[in-house]
Formats: sequence, structure tokens, C-alpha cells
Amino acid sequence: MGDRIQLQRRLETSPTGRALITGAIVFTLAAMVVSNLPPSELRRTGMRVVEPYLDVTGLHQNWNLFAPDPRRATLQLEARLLYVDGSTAVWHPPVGDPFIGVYASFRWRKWAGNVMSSSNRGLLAPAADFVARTHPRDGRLPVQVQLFKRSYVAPMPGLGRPAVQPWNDTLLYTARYGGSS
Amino acid sequence: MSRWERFWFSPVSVSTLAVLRIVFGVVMLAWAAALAPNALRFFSSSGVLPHHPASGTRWGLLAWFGSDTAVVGVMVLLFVSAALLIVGYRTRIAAVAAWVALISLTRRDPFVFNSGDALLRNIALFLALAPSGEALSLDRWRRDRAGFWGFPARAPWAMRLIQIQVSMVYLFTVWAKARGDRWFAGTAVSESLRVHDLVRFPIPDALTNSVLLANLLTYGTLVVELSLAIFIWNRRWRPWVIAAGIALHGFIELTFALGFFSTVMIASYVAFVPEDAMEGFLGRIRTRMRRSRFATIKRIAEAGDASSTIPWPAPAAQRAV
Repeated sequence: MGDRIQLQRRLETSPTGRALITGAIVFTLAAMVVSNLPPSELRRTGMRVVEPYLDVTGLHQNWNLFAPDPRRATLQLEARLLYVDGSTAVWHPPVGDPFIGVYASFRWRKWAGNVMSSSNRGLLAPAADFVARTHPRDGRLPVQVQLFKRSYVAPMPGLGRPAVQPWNDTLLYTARYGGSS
Repeated sequence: MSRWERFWFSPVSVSTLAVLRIVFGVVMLAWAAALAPNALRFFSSSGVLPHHPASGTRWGLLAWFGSDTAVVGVMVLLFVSAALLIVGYRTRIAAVAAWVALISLTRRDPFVFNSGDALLRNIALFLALAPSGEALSLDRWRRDRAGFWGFPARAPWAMRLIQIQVSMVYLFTVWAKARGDRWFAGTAVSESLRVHDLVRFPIPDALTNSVLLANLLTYGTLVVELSLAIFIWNRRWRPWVIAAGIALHGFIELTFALGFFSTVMIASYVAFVPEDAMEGFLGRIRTRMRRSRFATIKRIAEAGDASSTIPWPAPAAQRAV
């Protein structure tokens, strides 16, 4: 431990060490800035240089929370399950209590948002499989799982209309299974 | 010494760095505790994403080991490394282990993480590069018990990277918002408060329908974020913009369900506390600890005192006295 601290201190106090650290700092800052740029030729060119470094360090930057525009649609992922005996069930991702449980369940909402996004179609089949696997009835898996995107867009502020509106359901995916246990 | 050299290499007390390490250890522990109940559902082959996404050069423990045991192992690694960061035992190794665990989890299923998680991961890397265990740590205790309450001066370049990262978060989030139109229309915050799956509690329509309130919240957010990006570098303005940042993130925390985003942002402000102010704060804590009813806390506070002759832990004979 002490040796490692001495090594770092020696590096930080020697001209060669400082030059090395300065080089690493400059490259790190450049990589962070390039990763933050909006889609552009400059970003594409820069990312070719810094991408391997970002991949190794994990320093990718994406601070677009609620940006460029926040989404206006309230979303809900709904799975409708059909069993071999004709019975049905409905599943929604878990929603925790608003005090403590929400710190665990917000990740389900994040996942569901990605499942419903048109840019992540590859998540639909694994999502349906997960719901089927985790919801057997009488020891048998469902024969069909349908994933629906439920949504409504709240009217703009100032119009005096309530935020809650009727749901619109859009079928995203249908998975059929043998119904075995 | 050039301004560049002064900024990155002129030694400063590690007091702020030590507190930042402890605070982030606590945040990581809470983060891991919140994630643990769903870890196998999110990261295992029987979960919502059975296979690791195509990774290229994006390495991670769960890209190499896909079993349930590996998922549990990475979670245990995160718990242990966060606990070791708090107490400062084998601090460098603990910080590297925390970073490896965070990078492994966030890459195994990137669809369940947000910006706050990414910032936590990035700060873990910078903590691993900094002399985080130099003060207020078991490492220090084992090496130099008498100097436990001392704060050696070290080159702050890794700490500066943390500060720049935090500043960049605000700068680029404002830039991203400038590319949309709802923020400049002054309604973005109220529009988000009307998205019911995003909020912690349903917000009454009377509040979200007010255009005046919408304007105040939206423009206020932009002003605070831009101020944090720029004026946090000015020592005179810093307390004010940090107070505004805490108010902003307090509001976000109370209204939106965004996990650890606000917690991580507020925790990162510790990096901007001037070292002399932090030493003063720690001195006051030490004074209180000296008056503690608990012998162990008292002994820690007295470490390094000329009057203190009691080693810690005290031999049984002395404890009996």
C-alpha cells in the first residue's frame, strides 16, 4: 500500500511522470467532450479515435435526461397471457411503494420503456419469454404471451384539461409456446 | 509553476477527497442494496435479457462469465468494495473493484440504467486513480495511527477530473436541452410532471396546469443547471450554486422516480468543498467524537493526541480499567 502511494507520488512529482499524467488527462478530457457532442461529422470522426479508450474505461457520456425534449406520453407495458385451458392473466412490471420500493422498481420502468421503444425491437422476444417462464399455472407455461404498449399523452399545461387520459393500446409482439411445464 | 501545473498538480489537502470516498461508498452500498433483489432478473440467463449485448471491446466480468453464480459474485464484489471504500481498507483495490463491478453490471443490461448510474461508475474510476485512502481510513490507521487525523497534501489531478465530470454533466445537459423546443417554450418540467409513470406521486392537475408555474420551474431548472456548470468554479459563487443545485435535485428527488440520479449528483458536490473548510468541518466532528459516550469512538478521535496513550483496540487489561 505504502509502496503504491510512494510510486504515485514519485510519478506526480517528476517531470516525466507529470508529462505522462498530463497526456492522459488531455486525452481523457478530449474523449469526454467528443462523447458529449451531438450527432455530427466532428463527433463521428472523433469517436473513431476515442471509442476504444471509452470502451476500456467506461467513460461514455450521455447526459440527455429529459432532453432534448421530455417525453409527454405516460407509458405502461402490459403482458396478456393465455393458458392452454383458455384462462388468461395480465402482468405489469412491478411498481414499488413511493418511498423505498421506488428505488428498486424504477429500473423496471426503465426496462419497460426500452422494451416499448421502436429502436429496441430485440428486447421484445426475451421480455415475452421472461413473462412466460415466470408465470406458469398449474405447472404449465402459457401458450401465448402478447405484449402491449399502453399510452396516453397528457394535454399541454394551461389548457385546463386533466393529465390522465384514456389508454391507447398497441400490440407490440405475440409469442406462442407449446404450453409445456 | 504554470496555471495548468497549479490546477492539476499543486498539492492540496486530501480532506475533501477522503470525505468524497466515504460518501460515495455509502451511495454505492445503497445502490447495490436497491439493485440486489432484482439482480438475477436483470442480469442472469433466465432474466429479461438472457444474453450479454454485443460488446465489441466493451469488457465486463458478466461478458466473460454468464452464470447465476457470476451475477451473485459481482453483486457481492460491489457490496464488499463499497463497504471497504467507506472504511478505507485496501482503498485502491476496493475502488478498482467497485468500478469493475459497476462497469460489469451496467454493460450486462444497459436497458435498466440511467445517467445517475453512469456518473456513479465514472466517479468510481476517478476515485481509483486518486489517493482516496490517504486520510480517514483504515489504511492510514494501520500505517500511521498517530497521523490518522492528518491530511497530507497530494496532487489533485484525479479529483479535478471528478469536478470537471460533474461540471460537464450540467453543461452538456443544457446543451442537449437547447436542441429541443419544450425547454425554451417554458413548459418542459410541467409536461414531465404530467407523465404519471415518471413521477413518485401523482401531482395535482391544478399545479401542472399552471403555465406560470411551468415557466418558473422550467426556466429555473435551466438557470440552475447552467450556473452549476460555470459558477461552481468560482469560490465566491460556489456555495450559492451548490445550494441551488441541492434545491433542484431535492425537488427532482421528491417528485420524480429516477432512482439514484439526484443522490449521486448531490453527493458529487462534496468534490467542490474547499479543503480548508472540510478540515474545519472534520475538526468539529472530531471534537464531538472526543465527548462521545462510546470508548471506541473516543479512541478514534484521540488518535494522534499527545495525551492519548491508549492503543486501539485497547489491550484487555486496559479496557478493564
